[in-house]
Amino acid sequence: MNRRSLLPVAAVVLCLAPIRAFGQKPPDWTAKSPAATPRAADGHPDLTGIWGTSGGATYTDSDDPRSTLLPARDGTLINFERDNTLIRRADPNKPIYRPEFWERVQKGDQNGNSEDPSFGCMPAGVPRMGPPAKVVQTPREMVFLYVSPPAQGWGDQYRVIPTDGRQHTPLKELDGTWKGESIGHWEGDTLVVDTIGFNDTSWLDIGGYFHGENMHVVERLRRDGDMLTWQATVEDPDVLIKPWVMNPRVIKLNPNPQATLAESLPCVERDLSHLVNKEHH
Amino acid sequence: MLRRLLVCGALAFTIAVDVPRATAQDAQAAIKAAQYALGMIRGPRRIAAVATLEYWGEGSVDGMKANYHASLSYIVPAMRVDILRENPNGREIHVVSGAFAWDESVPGAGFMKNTTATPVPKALKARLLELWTTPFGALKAAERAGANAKAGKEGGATIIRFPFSGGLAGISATVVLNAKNEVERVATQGDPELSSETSYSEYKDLGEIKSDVPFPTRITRRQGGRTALDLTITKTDPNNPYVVFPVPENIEKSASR
Repeated sequence: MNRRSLLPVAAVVLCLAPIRAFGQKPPDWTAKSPAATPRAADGHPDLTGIWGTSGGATYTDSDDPRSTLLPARDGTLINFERDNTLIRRADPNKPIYRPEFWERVQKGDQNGNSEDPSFGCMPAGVPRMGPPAKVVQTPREMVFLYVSPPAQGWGDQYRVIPTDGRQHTPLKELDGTWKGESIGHWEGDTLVVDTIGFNDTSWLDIGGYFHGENMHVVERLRRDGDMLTWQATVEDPDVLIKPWVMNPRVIKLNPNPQATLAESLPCVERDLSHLVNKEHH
Repeated sequence: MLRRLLVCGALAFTIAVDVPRATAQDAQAAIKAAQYALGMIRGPRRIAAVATLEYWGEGSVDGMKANYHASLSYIVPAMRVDILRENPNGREIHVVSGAFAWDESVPGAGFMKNTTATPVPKALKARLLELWTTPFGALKAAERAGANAKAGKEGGATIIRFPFSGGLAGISATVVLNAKNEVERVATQGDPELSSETSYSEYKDLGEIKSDVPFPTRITRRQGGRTALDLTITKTDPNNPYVVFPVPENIEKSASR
């Protein structure tokens, strides 16, 4: 039977197949929240709540929330690893480093298993730690709580961010830290968190994206009903040609009033001595 | 149910009496098969995953013995080709990024002291074409051509023909796939100065970090009746390496003048 004679048969078979299999629409994860945005007594949006089901892990900017649970290609572990490391590095939004650092970034990425500080149980730091898992809002400060996302090991973290109108401590008086000194203020309905005073140990993301001690990070958080959008801009003219605007992340409010943050497991690095190549994980 | 059967019967009859030999639908299927063969579509969401690439080779460029290093981004789109020829020409670094083409004294020239970036606007088309006639580039460009891409069989090989668009409008390409659906040959037509035929063979994953993205280890290009490129690829990094192509200020300004 040649191809031409098979086609009518196939058309009938397909046409009589259950319509539902062809008619399912994927969920629209980018739809605006229909819920109202609650406000604090001072009139600002109230960001209080647990965001994501277990600590910011449920991002809604994916068209398939189950994607991390699905096998890649034939379902083997190697394929899964290779597919996902390739896909993560395909993001077109990259920080543009000064040319003298291009090789350092490449080497850092190639040797990421040993050089990425987060794989060695170090804190992710700002901005890599991303949006908070829980926000406690008061009129004079914001408390951000973080738990480790799955497969990461930097442990529970917190930030206390004044919103009382104070200024930054002069940079030269700050000891560089992973999270720096953060100060917040409101621009309309957007909370702007301005952070300086970093060490140069953390990375901005996978890919060898290091930074310097003079990095300045501006995070913007905006609540729209039961959705929280977080985006960070990294300014680091010592190493970057221009500021890097990171991809926004959108997380949903956990609607369970009984929800709590799960404690992160302690991180102990046990894998590195067993790795036999530079394949990313 | 009766109405459904009638519709299905009519559809089957229509297909049975009229199946074009080379269709846009065939082309998209052929492109997809080749993209899978080259490891370009990955993950559960079947994402186009090859965005940046680097490869190193040795052989001859324009008939002269040379080392060749290319880094490219299909997203910008951009390409940097670093050629180290034996005397008399020495090192040449050719860059294209979006609407700009320039030469660099060192990679990243124009952003470091004592380096020079020289505009070469006349080379824009040729450099963009070099990017879009790489195996992955040709498939991406063919996919972008949509219904204008046509596929067929010639001598047992799958052939995809498509026109470029944008800055390369007026130029078309013919892509030949081998039995493994790998890109075996890309020929361009439409501009006599830019017409070329590039052959790709012996695909392997030569990356230090394996990514299941095979790349041809033999590349030859015929252009203007001579061999413009004859390379043996010695190393590749198809794991979406960090390659960037910022446009120096003097290059942007020269283009706006």
